[in-house]
Amino acid sequence: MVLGDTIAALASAPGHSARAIVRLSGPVTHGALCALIDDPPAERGASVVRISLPDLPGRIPCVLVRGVAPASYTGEDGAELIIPGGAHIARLVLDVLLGIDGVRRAAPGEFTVRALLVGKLAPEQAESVGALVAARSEGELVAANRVLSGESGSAYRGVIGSLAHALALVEAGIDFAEHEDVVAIAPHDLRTRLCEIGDRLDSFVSHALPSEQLGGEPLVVIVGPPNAGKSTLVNRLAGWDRAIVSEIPGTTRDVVEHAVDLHPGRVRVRLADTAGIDGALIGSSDAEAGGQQQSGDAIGRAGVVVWCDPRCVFDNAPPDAILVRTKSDLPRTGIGGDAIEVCALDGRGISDLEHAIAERALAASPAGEWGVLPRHHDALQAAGVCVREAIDLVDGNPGEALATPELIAQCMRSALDAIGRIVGDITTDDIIGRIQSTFCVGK
Amino acid sequence: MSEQPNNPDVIVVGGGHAGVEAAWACANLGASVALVTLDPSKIGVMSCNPAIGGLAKGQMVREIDAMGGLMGIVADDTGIMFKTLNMSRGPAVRSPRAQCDNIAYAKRVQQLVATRPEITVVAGAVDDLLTETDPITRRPRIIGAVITAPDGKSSECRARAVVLTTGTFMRGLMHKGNEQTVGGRVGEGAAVPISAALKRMGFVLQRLKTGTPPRLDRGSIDWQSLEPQPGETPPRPFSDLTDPSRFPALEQLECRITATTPDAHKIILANLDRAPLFTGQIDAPGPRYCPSIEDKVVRFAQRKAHHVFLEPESHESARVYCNGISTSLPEDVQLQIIRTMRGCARAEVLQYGYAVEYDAVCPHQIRASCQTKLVDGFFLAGQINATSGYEEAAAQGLLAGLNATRFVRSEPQITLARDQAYIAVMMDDLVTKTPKEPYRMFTSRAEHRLVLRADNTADRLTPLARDLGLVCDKRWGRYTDRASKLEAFNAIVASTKAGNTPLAHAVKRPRYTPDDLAKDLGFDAVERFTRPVVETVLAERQYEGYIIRQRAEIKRHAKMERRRIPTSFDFELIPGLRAEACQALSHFKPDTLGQATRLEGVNPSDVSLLVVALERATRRP
Repeated sequence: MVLGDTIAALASAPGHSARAIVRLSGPVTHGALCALIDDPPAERGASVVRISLPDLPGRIPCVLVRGVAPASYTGEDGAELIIPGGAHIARLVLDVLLGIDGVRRAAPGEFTVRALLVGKLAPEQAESVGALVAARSEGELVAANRVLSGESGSAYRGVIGSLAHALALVEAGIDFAEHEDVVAIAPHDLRTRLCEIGDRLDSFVSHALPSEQLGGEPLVVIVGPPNAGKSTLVNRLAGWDRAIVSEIPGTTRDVVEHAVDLHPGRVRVRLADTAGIDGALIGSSDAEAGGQQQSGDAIGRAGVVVWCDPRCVFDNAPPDAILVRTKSDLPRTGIGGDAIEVCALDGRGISDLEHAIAERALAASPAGEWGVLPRHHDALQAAGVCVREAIDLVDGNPGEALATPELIAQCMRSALDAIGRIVGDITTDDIIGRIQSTFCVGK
Repeated sequence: MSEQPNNPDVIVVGGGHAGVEAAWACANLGASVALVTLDPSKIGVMSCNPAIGGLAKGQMVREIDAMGGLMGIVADDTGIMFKTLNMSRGPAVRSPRAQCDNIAYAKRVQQLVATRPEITVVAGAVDDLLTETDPITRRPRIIGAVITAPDGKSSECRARAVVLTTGTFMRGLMHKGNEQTVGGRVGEGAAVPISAALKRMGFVLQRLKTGTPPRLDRGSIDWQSLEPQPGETPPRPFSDLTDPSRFPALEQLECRITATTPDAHKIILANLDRAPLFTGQIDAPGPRYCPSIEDKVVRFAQRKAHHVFLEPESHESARVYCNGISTSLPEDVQLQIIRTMRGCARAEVLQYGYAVEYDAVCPHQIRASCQTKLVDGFFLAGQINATSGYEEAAAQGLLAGLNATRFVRSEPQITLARDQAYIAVMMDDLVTKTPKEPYRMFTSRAEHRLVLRADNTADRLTPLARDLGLVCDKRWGRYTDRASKLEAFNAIVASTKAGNTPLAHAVKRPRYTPDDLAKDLGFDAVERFTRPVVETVLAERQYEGYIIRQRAEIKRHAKMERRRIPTSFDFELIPGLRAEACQALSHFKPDTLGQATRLEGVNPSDVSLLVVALERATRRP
């Protein structure tokens, strides 16, 4: 990536809309605007301007939002043009801008990268901008927003502070072992501190979104005996009045997954179609058929299981499954209980089923107390593993003093490094500083 | 030997631990050296504590030794009590330490220096340095020094490289109560004009402080009433060259321990108005981790006593060093404090404690090679770089001597990596941080501590030092012998079973001892393979998993770490760089991206900008 030149891009979604946004950032912003607007405003703020485009008679009124270095999102001179009429006119505007010497098309995410590089955003905040834009559910939106507001970062920094302090106490016991005024931290004290830190890390991780597959969505598995109407139901859920966003090959050959928005904007799930597999045999010891095994695996990974049976035989269904009596247009043959009555043909009960699935899916992946993005999840989990390793080492120290403080310190440093990958590193110098501040405190 | 040499390759200014090690390294490389010192009889003197090594410092002494240095050899020849610190902890944090006979130590250093025809000792003060602008590089370079002999006559000595090691002597000013005496060490003078010369050359100096405790007359202490602090038996040498059958060379002594008392603390608090550290008479920062007794009493008011180790300085003198009560209080107060301590009711003071303020060069002006950024061929080592401690000084001296010689020979400068040696950790810290106090090494400064052990210094550094020409045949023989033993013993460990489990697993048990090993192997491995070899193999097995993880981490950063930033690179021209980061980069002028990442005020996004700018600069035709 090259910095220092001027970038331009369409910032709104392609396709029909009432307004489109074209974004511009870099030193030739003003010059570029001059190609569209007579005497464009150069100061910061919003104004109404009229742009002229080649081959188009008349001038088009637009809203221009000007940013001036360094007080802009990217820290550079920049502009956003809010253009009426959707993507077509916006594309013409963009063509004019890209025709200007020194302006090029922005790479994906480049505006945010620039903001990051000039220190306008902390690394974890920049990351969350991407997450906000790509947020696929309310929960993710909450998570991303928490990170952007710095809330998660300060929570992480709190853990870093506790870890660094505990590490300083361990290091003081190593480097000042012969120093009368430094009493090495007692194993039980260190253990208490580490457990508390480990618990906090665990709580961050457990509040990660969505829980079932990070970076993915809760998996909803539709199972039931052959000819129970599973395929029709899947098609109905996935394909009627909402788009299948993508077709994902399942982890097993015979299970096809669809990413589906239930109550659009609220929750996205992956719908696993196990059509053609005899759900009645799943869970029985006689699972010789590979497909049934795979279907069983899908259930194992599932956040939500939807169990379909037109006959209302739900004996093999897991206790938390959503029970569905499919083909409810046909006369019932068993005892329905609290099964949802669904008819995929006329849509009866579909909305109830969607609600039920969405509710379970959200329960399976609570938005949680803290926003945790996928990469953060990995880093926090790695840190947690290191802290647990340190606790194991402490437990391996039977005596009054730590016998392997250097290994415990090593694990704690690894934990710090892992969290540091989210919010920036803590250096050995920071630790030395802390050691000295814990000096002679008579602990 | 005190004569003006004809155009030596290198001039080393100062005969302390940095200067001596610098001259020794030059001599090992075959370069001729003029070792200029105010008083040749003071070469190798231990100004303060009569001890070598200690936590992290002991590792550095072993590193110096692995690179052909002097300090370990002399400490072994003159040690009177040896002890491995942190023996109850893991091998990475165990550190050798020795009490040395300080009279014998200086004598031995002088003897060894005298054996080297490459080294000419010159009595005198260096008052100015000679520089010129290099006609090709257009950069200032050193061409010699102005030496003022004891008779007051000045003369020019030409050399292509100068190593300056001023210790506490540059504008040294000693304090004891309100008494102030010019000098870097009790009874000696100061080096004054050199300070102004450095400023004229454009160097930024800072003022630092250190202190030393009183020395008592051993005959006046009730020695028997105090608890003994014995050394380790059998004692273990620092140097790979030391012959175990002739070690220790000197009769071993015991130290004793006493403590300050509430009465002593009362006396101190009542006399703070006469303490230079509290009256404002001294405002230069001193080492926080080595506080004076008046500091300790004020800062840690809740403590009723502080340990004081009574360490005999020499077989040849009655002086006893009072480790723990460094002070610059007036003499009468010092005496009162001492006499409240157990066993010291009738103690006589042979030399009172004092503090010394001195000039140092802010170390952002040197490179990790010890060469200054301002003047080519000009090297600084020791306390002048804002460090404290004999070991820290000696390590820099070795590096400065090595690189000065290489500079003279137009060979590339040598810097080590942080995962290679404590010496490198120190140099990297010095060139990337602003020291707020004299810098002392700690094991916790080394993120690769598990690798930087005292037991494997030869493996880490001797082959490299051999390639550089620092290692004599005798040491190389010891190394190759060790290397083959390591290989053979590793093979045995890898192929032997201890009961049902492979020995390689069994040795990972915590507290697995060489005795366990003898049992598992059915023979005494220590006897056959030597203790150092067995210890290294055990340490490496015990840390194996951690070391593998660390190595992977090191590898991941290696490219970035070593990527060079051109000397002439203008950080001001990086678009979008934050002012704070730009200031830090322009101030430190890092040589590598690795250094840049460790600067305070520079965050990862600043480094990304720097990477982009460097990329651009190299691609520009």
